[in-house]
Formats: sequence, structure tokens, C-alpha cells
Amino acid sequence: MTTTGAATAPTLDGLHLVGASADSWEVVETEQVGTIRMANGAVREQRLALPPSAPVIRRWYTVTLDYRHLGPLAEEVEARLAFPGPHTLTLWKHVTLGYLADGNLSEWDLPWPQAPHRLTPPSGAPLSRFSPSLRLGWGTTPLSIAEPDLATYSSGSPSSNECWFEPSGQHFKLNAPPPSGTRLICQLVPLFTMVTAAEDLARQYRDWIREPRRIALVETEA
Amino acid sequence: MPLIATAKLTGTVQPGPFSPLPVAGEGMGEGPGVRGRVSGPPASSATLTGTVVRSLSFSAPSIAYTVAIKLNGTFIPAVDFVGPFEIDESIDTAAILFSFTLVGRQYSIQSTSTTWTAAPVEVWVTAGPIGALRTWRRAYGIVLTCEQLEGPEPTLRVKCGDPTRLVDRLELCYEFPADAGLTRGDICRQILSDAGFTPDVPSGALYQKPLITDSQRLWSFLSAFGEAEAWSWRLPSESTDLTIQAYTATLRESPEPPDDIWTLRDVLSIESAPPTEVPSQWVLRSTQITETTGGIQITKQRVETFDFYAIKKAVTKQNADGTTQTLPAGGPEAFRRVSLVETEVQTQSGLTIATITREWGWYNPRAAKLHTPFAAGAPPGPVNGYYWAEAFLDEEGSCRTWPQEPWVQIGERRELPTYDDEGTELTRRIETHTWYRRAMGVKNVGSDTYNVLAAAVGDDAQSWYPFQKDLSARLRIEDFGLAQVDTIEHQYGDTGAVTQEIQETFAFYSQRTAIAGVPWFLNANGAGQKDLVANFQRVTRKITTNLLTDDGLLQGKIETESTWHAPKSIAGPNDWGDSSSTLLQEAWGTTHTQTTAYNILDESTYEQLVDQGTGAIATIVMGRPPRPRYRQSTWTQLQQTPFEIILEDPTAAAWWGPSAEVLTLDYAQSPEEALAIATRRRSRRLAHTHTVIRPICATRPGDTILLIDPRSGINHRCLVTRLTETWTFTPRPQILATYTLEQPL
Repeated sequence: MTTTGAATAPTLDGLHLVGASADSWEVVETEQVGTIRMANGAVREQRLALPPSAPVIRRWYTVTLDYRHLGPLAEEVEARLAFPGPHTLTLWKHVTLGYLADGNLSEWDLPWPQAPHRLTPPSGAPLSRFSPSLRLGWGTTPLSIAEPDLATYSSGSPSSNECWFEPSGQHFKLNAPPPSGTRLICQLVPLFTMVTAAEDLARQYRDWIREPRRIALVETEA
Repeated sequence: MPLIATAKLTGTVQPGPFSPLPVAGEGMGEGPGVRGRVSGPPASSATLTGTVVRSLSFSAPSIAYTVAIKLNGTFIPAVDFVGPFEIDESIDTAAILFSFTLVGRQYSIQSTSTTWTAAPVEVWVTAGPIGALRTWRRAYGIVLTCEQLEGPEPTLRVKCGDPTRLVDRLELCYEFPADAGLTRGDICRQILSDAGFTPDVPSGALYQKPLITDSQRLWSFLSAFGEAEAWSWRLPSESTDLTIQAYTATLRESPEPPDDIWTLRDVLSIESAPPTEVPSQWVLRSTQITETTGGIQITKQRVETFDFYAIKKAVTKQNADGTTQTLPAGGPEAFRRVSLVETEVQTQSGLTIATITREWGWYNPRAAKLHTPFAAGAPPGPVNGYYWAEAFLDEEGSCRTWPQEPWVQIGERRELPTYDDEGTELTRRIETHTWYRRAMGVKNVGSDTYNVLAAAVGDDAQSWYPFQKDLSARLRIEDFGLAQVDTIEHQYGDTGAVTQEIQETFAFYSQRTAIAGVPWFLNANGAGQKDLVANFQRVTRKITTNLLTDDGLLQGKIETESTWHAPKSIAGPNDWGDSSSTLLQEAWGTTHTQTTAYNILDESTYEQLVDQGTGAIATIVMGRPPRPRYRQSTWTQLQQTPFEIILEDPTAAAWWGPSAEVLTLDYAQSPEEALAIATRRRSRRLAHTHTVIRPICATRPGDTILLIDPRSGINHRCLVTRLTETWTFTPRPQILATYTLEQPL
């Protein structure tokens, strides 16, 4: 994560969870990959092939929150979880995605909307802290980022060494297709779409007078 | 390690624009082949700069996979595809079966019929290292059925098959005559074309045996019929016009390279099984065409019946003066021959040209009881103008010629069909020889006396022609000879069914006449007859006209009977003795017409409507309506001789003990072909079988693989006989293929 500055409290369905202890959040990333062991002992990887415009690896997020750390927020959180998903959740942390240029594409898809496009960060944190970035290849300088309005994004074209992110959308583009095989490293703050995990232990009580122990949310497709 | 390339390149190079490699997923340009640019006129020296594309074994350390399902023309969303995609193909069947799992209320069998009826389905797969993915159509065809599981959203296991499954239950109805000049390939091509496929079938051997495919399923027939040519059947995955290909799945021997080499780095596991329980004796049965002998074959059958029997002897003798004398009683019954039947069948080229049945027995021909004067001018006889005849009277009082029954021929029936060149029966003549009589007049109409000389009168008060006069007045009125001829003539229509059948009967007959005012004769019983002695002439004619459907089945028939007849009339001017008529003599005319119609009610019942001119009478009949006679097929005259070959395998007998397997090979047309089939089957049974699990690759059933496993010492070429691929994505991607390899000993 490259999010700079002080830690920012997560936001669940528009509710900034200010005060919930940061060490009470557990994030698990899952990707579609399996391995097979060949007869000579070598292991090969088998993974899900995604479209050329998607990141080569799509990770799915599971977020678990310890209920005891919610304090006075518990009532509002309960009010939100009284309804079925999807719930929106952002951790106000950058996520890194890798794309592989095929020589034809100049525009790619993002798996999620960006949180700064939809929400105001809590505690007066500046928006610029959560802006996306894009680099072409490992160890290179990030391109300059612009987020023009939708009309300009749709009809215009960025200049060279510039990357345009679609405002309140899930795309970004360059002015020309990079050479085939170029690695694009994109970082953004995602706004996840979550549902309560089926195996959620949040609603499991030790006894009647206790609060539940954990809230588990798993990512779903928007 | 995959081979770099093994290809046989054929084709025509034409100068033209650059042909780019097709974009992944667009059309059918994904298969192995050569693509490139041709430059530089003239065409004779054009240069091809291109790329050889072959399916790789996908042996990179990290491979990405995905599957897209196109159901009924629409790609279904990826989230609806949950389960594994499985595909199964083999050299032993043209069928490619595949299945996948969908989830969603919209796929429920209540909501749509596309998941359980023959909706078109395509499965496109993508595989390869990231950045070098290839997309191709892995399977296509139709939905066969599905299994639906309950849940908040239904989960359906959709089972599909390639387009050949649509005609899987098609029953063939073909008839190819022997020596039709068609090869096995010609026959397969015709059947496949009629079923809507584009055949890609080599010629094969000339098929000389007759072939009837009634009630056989298309694919099982093709599989059995092509076995002599070692054909396997497949629908190539790149086919767009339903091409069905007959190919030979045989092991490629050195020095030809194998299609691929698999070592431990290519496979996950190898399970091997040795051959077992291979028969030590193969019994091959079939038939072959043989030349039919040209001569006539005569088969005779003789049946003699013995029983206790007393030869009948006359009890009284009637003398010429009317007196009678008692004769000594006959002998006792004794165990003796009472009848002899001899049947003679004459055949030529498989056709029956004559069937003759002769019968002998004890018989005493009838004799006259009375007779008219022997000489002109003689006075009237003492019995109403007749004279007594000499005769022997048996116990029933019948007049017989001889004192006792002799052993004589009592019947002969000769059935003589005629045929056209193709062996179709055109006519049939049935001659009946028996003891017969000829009616004879005793006087002219109007004569006061019996002016016909030497006419015999039987004990039935009718007058008959005396065939023989013994002594002074013993008249034999029965003679053994041709008494009746029946002829049947068949006329065939375009459908091959009989359209008309004409049946005529000839016998000794004289038309009846009036008994007054005509110049003809009177019988002793008072009836008029036109001829002095009955002539041999046509007495009945029956025409049956079949009413046929377009496909030659019987809808009904019209039967018309003609004979000699004189309509009776109460006020008729001519006296016939027992009636009156407007006619003086019987005229030839139609006497009976009957119309029959068959209405099929269901498969086991039909209604028969019979109209004899007085209104139709309906009858419900169980069974199927009668069928007309059909024209003969040419080849039924050909002789097929069964043959049996026994193939001993002492090795198998020593290894697994004696056991026999009987192969009935209907489509093998010579012992050599049957032997070749058995050798191939034996070779496949006598093979080590390896079940190899490995990542998917381009190898297909029918390919040759050099399998190397130093652990178990395998270093042999194997024939791929079966492939099952499983593409699983949840919970983890696992895309594996299970190959069955046969390694001949």
C-alpha cells in the first residue's frame, strides 16, 4: 500500500468507522489459481484467464471486523447489516493491479469504482492522498494523472506520458497502445461491493448478554 | 517435449494480399495451419512468407484458462457458469459428448426449453500463458438433456453432444442390391448425405454383397460397416458444414515421427494395465457371394403312408340285361400301403421353376349305370329308353368299372411359374390331373328318342362321355388326365407392387342352354347343353385390381369375376327346364364384383369395408392390412455362402487359458476381410493400456504418442484411443485431460 499520510478509518455504507481500532481489521485476498504437480516433481500453475482489458490477476477481498472494537458505532453498523447486501466498503488504502499490454488496447478496465469518486474521506483527509497512479514497467516514474469530466474522457485523448482515469467510472486510458508485453502497474483506492459471508461468525453469540464477536464481509461482483 | 512440427503441406498458393493471423476468438482461424503473405509475381515464383501455427502443448509453468458457453446463439454470462466443463471423445465412436453446469433461475427447465432440448451450443475455450492466450472452439453441437438440482437458484448439469447425436436414433431404411458397383465409401456417402452430413469418406473396397439396413441405427451401422476398412468416424472440431470424416486410427510406425512425445515433465500420472483374458480362439462367421450353378436342380420327396386297409371290392355285378349277381366278399383289412405322395421341386438359379406333386392310391373309376343305344335305329331301351350297362356296384351302390380297387395314380398337380430377367414372377400355371368326367348329351333338343349313340348315364342320373367300352356294355365314364388348368398373371406398377392380378380357370364344360327351340343337346338330367361333349375351355376369370398408395401399400382392391351365365327371368320366353330366361344359351359375362377397402385405425387394427354391391359391410380386424405382392429384387437370386474361420492363438491360450470368442461379421465379404478385422481386434485386446492424466494439449484420439517413463520402463509408441478433458474452476482452477493409450505388444 502506498497510501501516504495518517491512517484513515474505513467507510461502510457511507458510515466512517472513526474510532474503530485499525488493528481489528483483517483483510484476506483470494485469487483463482491452482497448482498441479507433474510426474517429475515440477509444479505448474493454473489460473483463470481474464479478458485482455482486465488486470491479469483479479483478487477478491474478505474483510473481517472485530465487533468489540466498534464501540458507539455498533448501533449504526447493526442498522446497516439489518439489510442484505451489497454493502459498499472502502479501506482507504491503495490496491495494486497489473495489466499486460497486447499492442492493440489503449484503454483498460478497473475491477472496482474508485472510493474518492463516490465518498468524502473521513476526518478531513485530502482527496489527493487517494488519487490513482499508473506506471509503465517496473521501476519507472508514474505517468501524470488526469481525471477529466466524462464528455472530455469519452471524446478526447490524453497526451503522451499522461493517463486519464474515467471520472466515477471503471476505465483508464493512454494516448496510444503501448508495445505488446508492456507491464502496466496501476494503483487505486477501491470501493468494494460486499455481502455478509455465509460462514460469518459475526452473528455467533457466546451467550445472550454478549455482543457478536466478528463481522465478516466478502466481496461480490458489482 | 513437444515436437516442433510434423506436417504434410498441400494446397495452392495464389498471389494476394497479406492474410493476417485471425484475431483470437474470431471464426475458425485458430487451428493448425500455415498463414502468411505471398509476394512477387509471377505466380510460378511467388514467395510465401508465413507462420506455421500448430497447437502447442501448453507446457509453460503458468497457464491461464477460461471457458465461454454460447447457448442458443448467446454467450451466457461468466457468473452463470459454475461447474466443470467436461468433454469425452474416442476413436470407437463418432460421438463427442460434453457437459457443463449452469446456475440461474432463467435456465430452469420450467423457464426455458434451451437447457433440455436440441438448442445449439458452442463451448469456446481460452488457454495459454498470460500474454499468449489462444481461443478456439472446443466443442459444438446440441443440448441433449440436463439434470436440475434444487436450491434457491436451480443448478443444471447440461449434457450436450455433437450434431451427430441429433440423428443418433435415426433408423436406416436402405437396400443396395448385390453387385451394384458401389464401394463401401459410395454407400456411406449416400447414407450420410441423406442424413444431412457432408461426407469425407475414402472409396474403400467394392461391396458386392447385398445390403439391407432396415431398423439399424445410423452410427452403429457405419461403425460396423466400416470396420473392414478400419474406419473410425469423427466430426472434425473445425468443421462448419457438418463434415463427417472416416479416418484410419492406426499407430504411426518408425521412421515416421510420432505426433508427440510425452515424458514425466508432461504428465501428472501414468496408470498402466496389462492385457487380460484375451480369447485364444476367434471364430469368424460371415457370408460371401458365390456363383450360382446354371443347371436345373431337382429335389424329390416321397411320402408313403401305411395303415390297416381293406381293398374295396364290388359286392354286386350289374349285367347288361339288368340282372344282378352277388359277388364273393372282399378280403380282410391288412397293414398295407394306402397312399404315396411324391413331390418334385425343380429349381434353377435359386428360382423354383416347377413344383410337381403326384399321388397314388387305391381307386376304382366310376362306370355307367345306363347307356343310350349303341347303334342307330335300335329300339328304345328297357329303362325309360336307356339300356342297362354292365357295372360293378360297391357297398354304397355306386357303379364302378372294375371288380375291385386297383393301385393307380389318383392325382397330379403341376405348378409352373414363369419369371422375367430379374426373377419376378410374371405368371403361374397350375395343371391338375385327376380322374375327371365330361358331360355328354343323350339326345338333340326336340328329339323323341335318345339319338346320341353310346352316351353313358351315371348313377347320378347325369349323362357322361364314355372313355372306354369294355366287353359289351361296360362304360368307364372317368379318365385320368388333365382336368383343370388355373393361370395367374401378375401385372406390376411403378412402385413394384402388383396392380392387377388375372386368374383364369379352364376345365371341361359345356354352356347350358334352353331345352326347347334350340339346335343343341339335352343331358340325361334334362338340362340343355350346347356341346355334345363338354369341351376343355375357360370357365371362370377373376380380375383383382389393387388400389395402391403412392408408396405401394394396399389401400383396397376390386375383384371382378366372370363366367358363363344366363340370368333367370320369370317371364323369360325360353324354357330352361328348372327356370326361364331371356337367353337361349349361357353367355360370358361378369357375375360378381366385390370392392374391399382397408382403413388403418391404429398400428394393430384396421377396418375392412367389403361392398358386394349391396352396401359396404365394415369389419374390425386385428393385425396389419394385407400387403400386395412385390416385384422381386434382382439380388435375391444370388447365392450367399456362409463361411467360418477359426483363428487359433496359442500365445493367448498359454497366457490366459483357452476361451473362444465368436464374431458374426455381417459386412465382411470375404474370409480375408474377416481375418483382417479379427487381427485388428486381437491386436487391440493384446495391448497394454495406459491411463495418462496431464494438462490439456492438442493430442486427439487417433494420434500416436511416444510415451517415456523411466520409472516403469515405458518407452513405446502408443495409440490414443480416448480423451476426457475436465475444466474445473472452483474452488481452484484445475484443467486436466485423461488420455487412454494403447501400446500394442
